[in-house]
Amino acid sequence: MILSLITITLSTAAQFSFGGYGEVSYRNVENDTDRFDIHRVVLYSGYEFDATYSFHSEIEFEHGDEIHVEFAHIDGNYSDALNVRAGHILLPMGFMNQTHEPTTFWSAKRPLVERFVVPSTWHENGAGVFGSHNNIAWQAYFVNGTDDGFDIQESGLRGGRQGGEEAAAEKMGFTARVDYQITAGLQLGTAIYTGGTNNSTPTGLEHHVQVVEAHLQYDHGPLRIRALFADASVENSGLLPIASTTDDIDGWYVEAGYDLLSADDDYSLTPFVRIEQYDLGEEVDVNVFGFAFQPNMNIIYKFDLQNITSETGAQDSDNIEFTIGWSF
Amino acid sequence: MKIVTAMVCAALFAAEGKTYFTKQEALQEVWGESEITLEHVSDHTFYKSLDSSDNSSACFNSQRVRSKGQTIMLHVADDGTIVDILVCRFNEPIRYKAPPRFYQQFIGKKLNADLRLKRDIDGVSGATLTSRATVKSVREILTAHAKK
Repeated sequence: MILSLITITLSTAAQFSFGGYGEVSYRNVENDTDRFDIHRVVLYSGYEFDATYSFHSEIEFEHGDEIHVEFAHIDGNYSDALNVRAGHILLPMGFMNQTHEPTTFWSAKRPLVERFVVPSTWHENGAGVFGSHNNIAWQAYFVNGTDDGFDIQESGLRGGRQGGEEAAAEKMGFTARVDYQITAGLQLGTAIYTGGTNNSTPTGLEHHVQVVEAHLQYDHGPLRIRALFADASVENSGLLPIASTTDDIDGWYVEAGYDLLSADDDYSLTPFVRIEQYDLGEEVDVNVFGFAFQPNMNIIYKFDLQNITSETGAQDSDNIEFTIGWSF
Repeated sequence: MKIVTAMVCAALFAAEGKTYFTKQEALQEVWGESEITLEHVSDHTFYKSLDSSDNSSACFNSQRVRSKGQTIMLHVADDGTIVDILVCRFNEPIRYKAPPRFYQQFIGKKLNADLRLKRDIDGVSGATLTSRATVKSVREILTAHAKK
């Protein structure tokens, strides 16, 4: 009897998985209040129902007092080439939206292009398929559409995300991604989102949203280079509740870093530079230079200097950023 | 011609998981139905074919990726050169799985100080943890092989 209970307990425990990541960030900002923020603590849990079906979820505690479900979905793994995902999902856009554990990028904050043009972290309710064959991987999902809460010139597409919280779903969206591993270290990919907008009040206006991005990552020994271009548009943006003078926004960045401690499996010290530009109605250039140190591959300390210049000068600032990150 | 079939293997904890090759199937990929003999070296078991004259051997190793595991089988020539690598079982979500081109990098390489990620082995976007686990498996097997 006791042996049976132990066996059942061990068997159940084996089907669970647990993980997490988090970031504490300090920003010394030239034109605003300096902040030291418990930015996020994220807890992952998963459960394998059987060899085919599994559950995956992340609960995020942001800034200490906001709680979000970042994803919670059921995967049906039928083969490498064809799998089904349904529930609350991360949209497969850019580098950051699906893979944003702090140990996977060097800067204290995510690139601004992947904050405003690709509004990571972007998660909605939906279902779709994913898989891979040889060196090509793909994903495609239908999700609830955005709402019309965009403040495009201030924050790009961020305000239109519903986060799946009692999301209006009169209008749906579709997103798809393809990645091709050209060589062992070179990956090229592209993703698209297209969908209607759920208006907060019936206006009869269509605010169709489209996002297209292309990305490249090159790894060669201690060197890693990332490049991303993204373009987004919101139809009739001048007639949104927060009207915008532009209905098309875009941005790009190129980032390179070199691990000076690559001969050691347990440490990493990576100076890096990122050149970034985005346009939400005004062209903004962002240069970031810094370094990331990992005393353990699950822990990262990041320090960088961020220089922002804009066409009108209104957004110009020199900032210092520091982040402590972990992932397990 | 040796076909590199990069797949995944053994879970550290899980009873379930995506199995691409059982141990027997993986060995059959190398030597068909021939009779197999065993040799134990430093916590590793090396499998050899009694019908083969090249003295190559195969060995399995499991490592944790994030919270679950991957098991690979490495086929090693008598002089320590990697002949082939098979991923037998992968228990993490498929998004952590590395593409075949990652595993193909190991073919023809021997154990040395640069057989590491960010040295002779290039990482893969979105599969860093899998890349690291694979390198660890390969180094452990080759270290044991060198003691034979």
